Parts: sequence; C-alpha cells; structure tokens
Amino acid sequence: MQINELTDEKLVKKIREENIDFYGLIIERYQQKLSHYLRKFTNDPDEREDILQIVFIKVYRNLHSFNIKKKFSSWIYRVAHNQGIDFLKKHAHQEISLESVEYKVIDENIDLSRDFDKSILEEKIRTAFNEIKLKYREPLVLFFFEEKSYEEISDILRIPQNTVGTLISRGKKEIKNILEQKLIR
Amino acid sequence: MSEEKKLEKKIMQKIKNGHIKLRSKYVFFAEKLGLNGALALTIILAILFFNLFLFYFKTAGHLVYLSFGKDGILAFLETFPYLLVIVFLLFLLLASYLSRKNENFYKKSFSHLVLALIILVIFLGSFLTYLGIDKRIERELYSSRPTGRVLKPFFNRCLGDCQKGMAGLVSEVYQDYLIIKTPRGLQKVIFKLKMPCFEKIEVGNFIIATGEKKGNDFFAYRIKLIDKREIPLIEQGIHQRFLFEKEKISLPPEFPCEINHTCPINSLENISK
Repeated sequence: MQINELTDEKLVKKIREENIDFYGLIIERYQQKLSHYLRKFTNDPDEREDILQIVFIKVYRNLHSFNIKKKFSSWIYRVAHNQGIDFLKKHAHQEISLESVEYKVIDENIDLSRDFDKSILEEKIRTAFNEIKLKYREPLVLFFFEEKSYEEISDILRIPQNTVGTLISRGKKEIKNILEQKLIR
Repeated sequence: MSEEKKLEKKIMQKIKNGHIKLRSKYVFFAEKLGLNGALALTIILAILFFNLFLFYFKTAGHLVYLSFGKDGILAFLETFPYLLVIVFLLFLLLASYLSRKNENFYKKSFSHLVLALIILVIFLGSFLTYLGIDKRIERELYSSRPTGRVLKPFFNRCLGDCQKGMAGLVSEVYQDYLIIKTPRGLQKVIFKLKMPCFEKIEVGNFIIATGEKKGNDFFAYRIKLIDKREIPLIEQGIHQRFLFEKEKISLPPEFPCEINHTCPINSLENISK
C-alpha cells in the first residue's frame, strides 16, 4: 500500500515507529482544514499561521499520547481548538469571519419568520455569531462549517454527545432570537 | 513556493534539525498512570470518609440526641461531624473532576457520572461498615500510631462533652447533681430538669443529657440512661482517658433521695406519691 493511501492513524503509527519524515504528510492533509477552522478564532492570516505552526509542533511532540484506536482528525482538531481558545483568551475582542457559503448554511438552518434583504442578513448573521456565547459557538462552527458529526464534536470538545445536541439546538435558537431582534429594529 | 508548502518545510526542518522532539511514550504512560491513580485514590478516600461518617453516627450516639426534641436538635447540630462531611464531599467533587479528565468517562453525562460515583461510594462505604472495619478504626483512633493522630481531629469535636449535650459514665451520684466521666475528663452534671427522669441513675450507668454548659458545669434539662453498646466510641474514649488513673468512685451520700421533683432517682415513684 502506498504511503499516501494510509489512514491517518496508520500514518501516525509509522511516524512514531519508523520515519519522522512522514509527518510532512500529516501537515499536508490538515493544513488547509485547520486553517479554515482557525478562521473562527482570528481573521488575521499571520496570526492564523502562527497558531497553526504551534498546533503542528504540539501535535508532533505529543504524538505518543494519541491512542491510534481513536480518530486522529478529532484529536488534531482538539489541539487546534485548544490553541484557538488560548488565542481568544489573550485577544478578547476578536471577531470571527464567515464565508458566503457559511452565511447560506446559517440562513438555511435558522428558520426566520420573515424574508430579509440578503446583504443585511449576512451582516446581521456575522454580528449574531459574534454575540452568542462561546459554548454555543464552538459546536455550531464544528457542526455547520466543519461538517463534523456529533461524535466527532464530542471528542473535540470533550463533552457528552447529548450535550453537543443540546448546545447546537440552544445556539441555533439564540442566533435566531438575536437575528429577529436585530432585523426588526 | 506556496504559503502552505512554506509552513510544512519550516516545521519539517525544525523536526529534522532536532529542535522539536517527540516526547517519550513513557512520559505519557506515567501521566496516564498518575491521573488514573489519583482518581482511584480519591474514590477510595471518599469511600473511607463516608465509612467514617457512618461509623461516627453508629458509635458516638449522637442520633440519640434527636429523641430529646428541640433541645436535642441543638445538641445534634453541635455534635454533627461537619469536618468529616466536608472532607467526604471534597473527595467526591475531586473524583468527579478527575473522572471528567479521564478519556474513558468524558463522553458520559456529568450528572450520571456523579450519580454513579455517589452510589459506588455509599455502597462500598456501607459494605466496609458491614465488614466491621469500625472496630479497627475505633482501636486506631485511641492509639498513638500515625493513623490515630490523623483520624483524631475528625472525631474529637466535643466527643461526649459539648455545650448543648453531654454523654458519659456515671461516676458519682448526689441529690442535685452527678459526676460523670467523659473522654475529656470528669464533668459535673447539675439537674435543672424540664421533664422528670423516669429512670434510676446509679454509678456505672451511662447517661446522655441535653442542657447547657455554663463555666465548668453542665446544667441538664433532659437526661436518659443509655446502653453502652449505643455509644462504644465514647465508652472506649472514657476507658482510654481513665486507664491509668486510679478510679475514685464514692457512693452517693443521700441515696435514695428525698421527694424532689428535680431529682433523677426514682422520680416516677416520687411523682406517683
């Protein structure tokens, strides 16, 4: 089997036991995904790259702590998530950015009672997303924008799956309330 | 070269140069062992403290105070083993926190986890009591061994000798007062009975009383005879306290007493007269 065809977990086993050079493949596989995810923590590309570098270094250093029976993607997302949270703690007033496709996702999932002008709605969605509590924002971002399953979100955020469902449902409700208040004004 | 490739090259260079190294798997193994060990130890301590709490209630006779009514409630609250309960709850909280950190338990609901922990602790704590670990605790408590010294602060809180309650072995009986032995020493118990005592109090009886301590004297409002098997902790404490002292027990001078409604001796007969 070609090295490129190996699953993340088997690749990690090879890096740990045979050749550290294969770690480049892990970086290749996850750089774009994690960079996209970290946009929800900072808009600045330089800051994002710094965080990303720290994430890949931490992942490499702690590779032996990963249980290869579990999903590697959830583990690396968890490291990135923790690093993103650390960044937010240091830079309290960071605003998250959303892409046009993400506005659409929110628009489709938040069932607003009236139709609104698209450009106004996008601006309001962005501010609403920045206004909701972090505990709701985290699972919403992972579920809608990173397309993670409840189980993966549970592994990344280290919370029970039932709690993931509750937080997503409450987060959606909170965004809807904020949007309706903002759009009526 | 693209930005993405640049980052990959930068990190791989640091790895190949040896600036970034893999942490040894033994470090993680030790960390995991430490965390699991701490969790197991905390659960064991929570079980032990729950067992100590049951032991205290079973052997110090403080539940008897509740049978005295309002006065008894104050004595019960005064003698309640708060420190034991606080330490037990702290260990339970710590166990819940550590179990959340454990990779096998974080997926479970927190309330279910805490409930399972409480059931486990209560079940095993009661099982230890059933196994008779009490006798060992009792022996340790009055020994000079390190375990005894550790346990003492949790039990010594006014054991048999409090502001609102008193329990001990009757050493001398007088018309208006008694001298009793408690784990802290001799105590004068003066009768100020609100209710007549229907039992005949004699030297060698164990009594439990509610009332008020003023200075060195205890003014008893209600008094009861109690079987020594109901207060083995106090009995053992008295035994240890007076082990090396020559027992001085004098007979009551005016025994049996004259008609006196405050007198505890043969009060029922006196009232019927």
